[in-house]
Amino acid sequence: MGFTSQDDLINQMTTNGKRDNIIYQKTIDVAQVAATWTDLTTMVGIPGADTYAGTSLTYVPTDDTSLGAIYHGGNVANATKHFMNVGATVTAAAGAPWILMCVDQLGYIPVTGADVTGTSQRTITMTALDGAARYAAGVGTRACIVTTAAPTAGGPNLTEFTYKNVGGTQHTCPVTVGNIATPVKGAFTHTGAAATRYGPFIPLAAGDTGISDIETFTFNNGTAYTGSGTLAICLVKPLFVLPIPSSGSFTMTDFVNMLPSMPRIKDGAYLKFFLFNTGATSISAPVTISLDYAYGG
Amino acid sequence: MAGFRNIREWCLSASDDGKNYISMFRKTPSASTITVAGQWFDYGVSSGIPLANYYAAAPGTATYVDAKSGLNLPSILPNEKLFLSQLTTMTRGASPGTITNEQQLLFLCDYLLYYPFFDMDDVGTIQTTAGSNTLTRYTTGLGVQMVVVGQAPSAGGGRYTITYTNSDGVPGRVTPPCYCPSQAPVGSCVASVGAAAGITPFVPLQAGDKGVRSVQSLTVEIANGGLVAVVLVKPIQMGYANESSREVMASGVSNGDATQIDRITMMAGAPEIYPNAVLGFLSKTLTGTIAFCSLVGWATFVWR
Repeated sequence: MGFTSQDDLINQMTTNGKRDNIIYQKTIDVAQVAATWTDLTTMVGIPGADTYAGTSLTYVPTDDTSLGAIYHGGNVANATKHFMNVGATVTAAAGAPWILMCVDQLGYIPVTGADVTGTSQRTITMTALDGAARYAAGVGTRACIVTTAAPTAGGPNLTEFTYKNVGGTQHTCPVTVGNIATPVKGAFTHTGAAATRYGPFIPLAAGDTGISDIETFTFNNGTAYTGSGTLAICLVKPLFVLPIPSSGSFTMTDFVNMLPSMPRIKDGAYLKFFLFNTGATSISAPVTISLDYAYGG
Repeated sequence: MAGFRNIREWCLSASDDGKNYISMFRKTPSASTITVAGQWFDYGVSSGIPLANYYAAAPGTATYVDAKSGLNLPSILPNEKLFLSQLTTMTRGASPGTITNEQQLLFLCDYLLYYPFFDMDDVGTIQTTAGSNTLTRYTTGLGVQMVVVGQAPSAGGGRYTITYTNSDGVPGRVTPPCYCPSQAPVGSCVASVGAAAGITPFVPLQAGDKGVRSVQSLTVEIANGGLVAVVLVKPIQMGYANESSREVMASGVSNGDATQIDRITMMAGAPEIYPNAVLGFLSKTLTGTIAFCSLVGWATFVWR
């Protein structure tokens, strides 16, 4: 149960102390590319970077105890936890304005070795999300491909991306998605300003509202990646988006009075942030985010 | 029943049901897009996200705007309706000192149909349109406006009229004389009311008309130079880009802001976005050129 009224919200936060603050700070340690999205989880900072470890093509579920996770107070049982507000700043010589997105990552699929450079269909090992998942059967979830270690050459086309939707029906991404050449660490491979780029997420088939199971994908045509780069397919639920118009300014949003209000932080949520770079965000740029949350019940 | 009956249904779609979609954009006019203060410009011809639309088709032929040049939209089921929930816009300066891109008035429009390559030097000729394509959205033309977009640089000083069929289906309607601004880079809106200095985005219609269903011809009365496309659009929502987002300057000062419009709490009545809509921006710059300045932001859509 959340909050029954504004009075209840104030009472829970003040009298009962059911609130806390999260500070998140990352340093962009590789200059990013204009018009691409960046996974800040790959960057050094607080919390530490996630290495996206695991067996290639095998799904790794994530929660608030996983590497790189943001601690948000643990489970709150029958109560529900919500964001109250967010503030963020980026300091960089280049890259503004930025768009910051907060997501809850349900899991990821490492893509390493020949699975990055190969051109045949790859089969993913993953147990489909069911009604017990944080987002039942994956409702509201989306997929993206992030660079965890930069490959060379490229980029290949994502000619096939097959998944099961919330209803368990198998569908394929309806378009061919192009990947960028030599993506830098943190970059979403399929974003950018060129034709066939889609961001921040891989398009879903008509009518689909989420992904319950990622099944196969194929990198083919275009130019294959080479080298020893690694990628990760992330399955995430977008929570909110915040504009950061300029370097050094602190942008705040209050979620109590906006609609839809107070995005929910589910028990076990693996919170992380993506950043859109209008320009080429400079190396060594710090990203600092402050979030307040509260829970009722 | 498609649509939302109350706030609760709106929020469920936006948060719990997965029926929400974030579509971002980053459009950068070329360095040669030297607009002047007060001039309207079609961001659709600019590179970036989404892709540029060059209005490339046979001269005068009714052509649908390529969906790839509009904001990415979710594919929803036939029995559902899509609505614009929120729009956030920012503008990036071309350099640390750029402020000419500030205070842009924006029109988010659904781009419906265009007739390209009218010759603005062909004085006196009734340049007749061709092709059988008709409006697939807003099919009567009610509320549909004409935008004349420059496809090749022009000298300015010209004057023209457009003959069209109005939203009541009456052909042969003629616009008042439209004047051309003195400077018109590719992508600029080549129309004004009364005098070249008064630049408007939409071509004024014959008295009493409420929209345009199709275009029959364009007649140049005074040569302007260049080529233009007549584009049929349906205005969806106004927006604004206020302060230029500029990099850290030598003095350590940086600037920029974002404009966010929520269609429930700020502007009641979320507009419905029809299937296959091609959404893009017209912009009026109040301070000067937007050359190499990016329009950045995102639109959020919900459906039910």
